Amino acid sequence: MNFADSRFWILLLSGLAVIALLRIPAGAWLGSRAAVFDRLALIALGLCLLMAVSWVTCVIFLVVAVFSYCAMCYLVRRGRRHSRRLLILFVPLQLLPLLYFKYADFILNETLGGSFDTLRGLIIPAGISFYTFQMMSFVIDTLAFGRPLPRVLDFFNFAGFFPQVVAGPIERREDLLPQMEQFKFRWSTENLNAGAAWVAVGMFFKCCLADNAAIYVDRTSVSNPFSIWLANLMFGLRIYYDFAGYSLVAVGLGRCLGIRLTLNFLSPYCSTSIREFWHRWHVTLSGWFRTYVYLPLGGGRTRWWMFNVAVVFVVSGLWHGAGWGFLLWGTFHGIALIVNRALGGAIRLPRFVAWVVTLVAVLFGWVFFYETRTPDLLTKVATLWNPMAYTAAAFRETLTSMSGGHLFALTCLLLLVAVVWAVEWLSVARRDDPYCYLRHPVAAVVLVVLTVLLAPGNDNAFIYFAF
Amino acid sequence: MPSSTSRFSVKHHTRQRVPWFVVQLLAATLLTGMATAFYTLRLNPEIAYLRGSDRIKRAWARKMTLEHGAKTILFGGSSCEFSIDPEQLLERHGLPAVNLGRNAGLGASVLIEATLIETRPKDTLVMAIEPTLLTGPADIPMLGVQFSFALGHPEWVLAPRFGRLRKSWPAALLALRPGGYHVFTLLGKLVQGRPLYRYNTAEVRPTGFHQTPVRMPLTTLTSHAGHLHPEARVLLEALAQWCRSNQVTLCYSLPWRYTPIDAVPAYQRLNAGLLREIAEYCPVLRDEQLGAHVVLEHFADTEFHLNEPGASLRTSQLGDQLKSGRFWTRAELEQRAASAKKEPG
Repeated sequence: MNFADSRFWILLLSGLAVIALLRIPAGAWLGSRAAVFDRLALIALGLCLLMAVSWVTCVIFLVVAVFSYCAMCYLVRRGRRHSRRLLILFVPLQLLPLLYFKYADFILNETLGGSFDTLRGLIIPAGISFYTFQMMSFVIDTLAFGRPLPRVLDFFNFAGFFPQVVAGPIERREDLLPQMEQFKFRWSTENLNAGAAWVAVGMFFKCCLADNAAIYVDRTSVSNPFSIWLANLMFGLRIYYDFAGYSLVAVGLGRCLGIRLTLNFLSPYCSTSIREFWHRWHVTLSGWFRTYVYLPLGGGRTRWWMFNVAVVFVVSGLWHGAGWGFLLWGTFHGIALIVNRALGGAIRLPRFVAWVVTLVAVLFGWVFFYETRTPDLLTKVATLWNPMAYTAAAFRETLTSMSGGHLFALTCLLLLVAVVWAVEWLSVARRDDPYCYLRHPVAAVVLVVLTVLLAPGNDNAFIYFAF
Repeated sequence: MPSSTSRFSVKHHTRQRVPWFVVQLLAATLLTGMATAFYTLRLNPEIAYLRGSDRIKRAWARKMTLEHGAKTILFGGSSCEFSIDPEQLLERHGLPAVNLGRNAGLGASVLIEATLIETRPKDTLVMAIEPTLLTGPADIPMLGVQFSFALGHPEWVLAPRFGRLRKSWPAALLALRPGGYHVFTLLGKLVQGRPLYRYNTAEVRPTGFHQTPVRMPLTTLTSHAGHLHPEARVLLEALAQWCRSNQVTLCYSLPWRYTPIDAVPAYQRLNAGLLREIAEYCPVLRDEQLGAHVVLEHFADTEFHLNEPGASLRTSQLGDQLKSGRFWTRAELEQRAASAKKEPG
């Protein structure tokens, strides 16, 4: 389900063409129940696209979805009182595939010193973290709040809606299920136009900005603070435009099919505090943790709110991957948020300074995210904190480590990013509608031209597929 | 939570059946794609150079076939193009030869395909492909696709005879674009009034040997993984098979890379291990330096591009190896991979 791969689009358009052809006899045969055909066709299309990723991905998805639905049916029949208690048993079972593929090696081999060789190098099925969390929230919402059991077709469409199944947004029952229940393949000019604008912005983010930034993520230097900051900046740009790009294409594809998905990114690098950053970065995951972890722990109105925040961020770090770096990344953001919240009322920084401080903190944090070798990570952090390392010689070394051509190309790329940031900032500041100016018809055409012209063409899968 | 609904969106005419904005975006994509493809195939200075040098090299190959019958073809990336002088091979060693070295950025399979169209029975193929192309991640690079299309041989990437890597038509067409690095650096050169490409065809000798007046400090040294990539194994196996069935002699010659003296043992050990694996598919010419050349003054603009004196030395040694048929045995390479204590001369 790689939107940057031409095969995805060929398969999608072929699938839609087949559905359109089959819909004519199906409509005549089924009459008023033609909507069933549409919902069935949407599931089939999603499964075909998942199968194109890999059969393991498709099978694991089906296992989690079938188990979730069957268990939900069983628990609903047992009655609400019993089902709430059984949830405690059921949710860990739902998490089992995720735990096995993503965490078993880290916990059993790396942390506990075991030697389970079969767990080493397991390939994580694409999207497992996303659809597992989405189905978990569905089951909890259904059982804990006594919602009616959905029809099987609607549940499968909710769980496996192809634009978002492998990398989110992680949708809630109340947002997506009603749309799935009403789903029909409709030719809507308005939806197609609006969806295409989102796709244009998303493809520009991914293919033009993220893939070009990826070229300059050089993780080799451990002793030069300027090189490490540059790597952090480029990684920060890459991961944002990569993930936001995917999410925007998902939103656009959903919109073309008449489904409105949640915006997962709201120009996070425009934030002027860490708190704001987390309201703008990976919005649906933050919302998930807020609803199912933070609030049940007592939220921010208890004396131990700091502990609640720390738990949420440590778990959030681990959600991204099984590794000490992810744990440290989550912990760092947790601490930053606690500091932000504790001092926020006492210190008022000018808006620009607050933006710079937030950006620097976020960019610093990326080193925990991308550096998987623990000794190198510790050295890099020590280098970044060491004022004596910031010498003119180190700065010159960073500049000369790149050829003149690379340096110029990097400068041009950063200028392009600066322009995009400025437009994002304007969208947020003037209209509180992220990316609205980028979706303007003229801007979207310019973005398409820039994407075709500047996309580097190397096979860069979306980073978040690995999560 | 915010949804994808926006207050600021495309104006819609609800009665329209045609989504004109989608049509506009598709038209912009198509037109830009066509313009970039035209630029890439006709105007791109790097492709223009590669096309021009290809004409020169192939003309010499035909001349050698016509005049001498069997010939020696030296092929690989630019390390081959800059390092081996066929004129010297003919004059001093009596070996009619052509240098079909091109740009390593074309990828191993395209380099091979572009060589084989001038290969005839009884020829000797000296493969001097850079180790990174045989050990690194396998893919057909964009430049390889562009070069194949520019030369009118899209089948080199769409249905290559060697290896399993291939491009689909859509992927190949999408590769006919310049990309960010090319566009940005081109802008820089235009602004500074510098030549649009570092090399030009006037520097290419009729034999295909290339020398450049450009001199650059060698800031980085490219290394490699030390083991053949599975795709490279498939490629080498297929090439060896093709040579056997077409009465072509195949051997491998490791390119020279500038290596500081203290890094020589490690680099030679690495290369010996790789050569041992290559020797499973074809004989490897016995170069005692094992690819590590310590004389900095013998290099031009990269750690693989030899200048005139360097190329003369490399050609002379290669000529001797070819004339006397000196090859490494696998046991020797195994031993060198394990120890490689010996310093180069």
